[in-house]
Amino acid sequence: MALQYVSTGTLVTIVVGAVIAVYYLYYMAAALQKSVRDRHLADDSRPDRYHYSLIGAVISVIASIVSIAVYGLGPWFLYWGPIVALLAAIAVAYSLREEAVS
Amino acid sequence: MDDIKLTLNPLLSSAQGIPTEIVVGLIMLALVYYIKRNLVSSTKDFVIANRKIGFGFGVAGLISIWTWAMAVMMSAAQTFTYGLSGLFWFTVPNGLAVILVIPFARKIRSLMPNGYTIPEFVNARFDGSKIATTVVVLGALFGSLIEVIINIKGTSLVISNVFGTDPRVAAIVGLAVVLVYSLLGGLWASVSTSTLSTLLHTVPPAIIIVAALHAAGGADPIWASVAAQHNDLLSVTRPDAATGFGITLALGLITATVAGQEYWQVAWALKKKDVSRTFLWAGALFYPIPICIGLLGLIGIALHLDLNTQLGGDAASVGPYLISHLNLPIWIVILYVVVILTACYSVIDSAFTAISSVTVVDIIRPIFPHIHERSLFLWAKIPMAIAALIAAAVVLTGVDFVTIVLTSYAIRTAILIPLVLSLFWSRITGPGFVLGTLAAIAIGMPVRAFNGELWGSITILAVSAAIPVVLGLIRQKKFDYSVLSRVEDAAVSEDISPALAAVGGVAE
Repeated sequence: MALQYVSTGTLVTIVVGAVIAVYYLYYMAAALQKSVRDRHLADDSRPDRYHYSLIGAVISVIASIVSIAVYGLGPWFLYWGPIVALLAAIAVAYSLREEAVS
Repeated sequence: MDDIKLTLNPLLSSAQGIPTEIVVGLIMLALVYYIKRNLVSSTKDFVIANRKIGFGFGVAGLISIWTWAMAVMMSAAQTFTYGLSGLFWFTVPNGLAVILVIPFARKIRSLMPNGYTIPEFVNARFDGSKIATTVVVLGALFGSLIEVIINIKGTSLVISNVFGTDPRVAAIVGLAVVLVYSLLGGLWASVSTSTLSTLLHTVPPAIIIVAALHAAGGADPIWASVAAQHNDLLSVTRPDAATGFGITLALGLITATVAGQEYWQVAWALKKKDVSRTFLWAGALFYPIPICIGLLGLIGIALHLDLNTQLGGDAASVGPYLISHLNLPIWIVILYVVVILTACYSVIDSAFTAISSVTVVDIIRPIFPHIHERSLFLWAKIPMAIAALIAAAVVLTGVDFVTIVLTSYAIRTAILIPLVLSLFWSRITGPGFVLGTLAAIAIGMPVRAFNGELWGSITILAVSAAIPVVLGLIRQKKFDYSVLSRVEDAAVSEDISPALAAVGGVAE
């Protein structure tokens, strides 16, 4: 028979995940409303002057390799995967916030 | 680990599969209905989101568009097969493929600000060369159609494996769901539903993995069991993972993004100032998804799952098998299915949009240059329905679509280097582009058939690079890139007033 309760760790992840989801959905809605408000504005023709593409690419690739390699260091590092997944949701929510308030 | 009993969750039934698909679809539909009412009223809104996609939607949308259902399942499958080396070779090139689009996206937005599609760029770049444009149109349409077919097969596979639902019914329902909301909102629908999907690709997997680690006995025994099996399963340096699939996969992934209409259309749809950092963030934030879900492969190793007797010979089944057999609560099983479903849906809707924009811009507009806006808007939707019908026919008849897969693979790989040269090297000529592409297919595909995928890909890339370079050096003629900036906006009809066109709106 399948268990219908979850471990304490799962419960903590659910609570943290729920908070992140609320934050994410709030800023997604805000960004969407911003898009609706701005739809008749003229195109934003400012050029793309982002200068961190190369260093950002190097850092992200190294970070991903390290994130995989740490699984091999010990049992508790297996929880690093769920942690980075939650951090990714926070980072995407942050990008939505930036769009909403820009 | 021996006390962990793997049995099919008794609470799962075939009656749960279709409702799960429909409920996910209804949530997407509600979001798209809002989008349709507030953001989509012209062909330009529909196919390119009026070039008003911002940083947040761009990042979230790209992550989900890149997260195929098979990517979710293959991260666990490659970990199960090669240990952490498999996860390494699956994950690292995946995010990098998105990041590598940056120089191309940046260049194309500055050279051709009013563009929509790769064939449109090729047409303008090579003085309206019909052969070059036709080859690239075929590559774009076949490539997107393949994405629809593969992902709808993924949907049916997961729904049938987990719930025991008829896979054909699951495929048709999935296609219908995505088609309905894609018809309503086009690229805006794709990006907004993908943004919601990205939330579902990050938070739920964290919950699922923590629950699965617990149900499989906990982190300590799992890690100890994998370590005890040796074979460098906890190392990222196993060379057989690189030679077994890693290098070939990396080439395929880079081809898929750099020569993929789905990514070029996002590059053109983003606000210009946000293009580079959007692709960087999307690639970087994609990484945690396979890194997290890939852990199911380690759990599979720890529990000594048998590839043939328990997984039906397919390592991709390791995730669905574990989730449905680890005695997890039913809602966690359904959550896992939702993760896979939304991965499928987001890829299919972006492929539908790519098919739509290629049809409108590269087929309909050249044939009917004075087409009325209403007709153009209708034509933006018809190809989506046709693509869905073809995909349904392929799935229902069980017809072998290997030929379509090989054709799209060959064209996409063969145009990769000529396309890159077209953007960055002024001397590449139309004949060089066409001959390089066709010769690469003609020589590379037999090599692939006889010597394997790696040598086939290397041959295609080498031939497609050598011929355009040689012909370009002989011809000594330089292309004036300023021509591209004068390409008109192909999805704005002449019957829209300039003022209305400037804001991208036309009332229905």
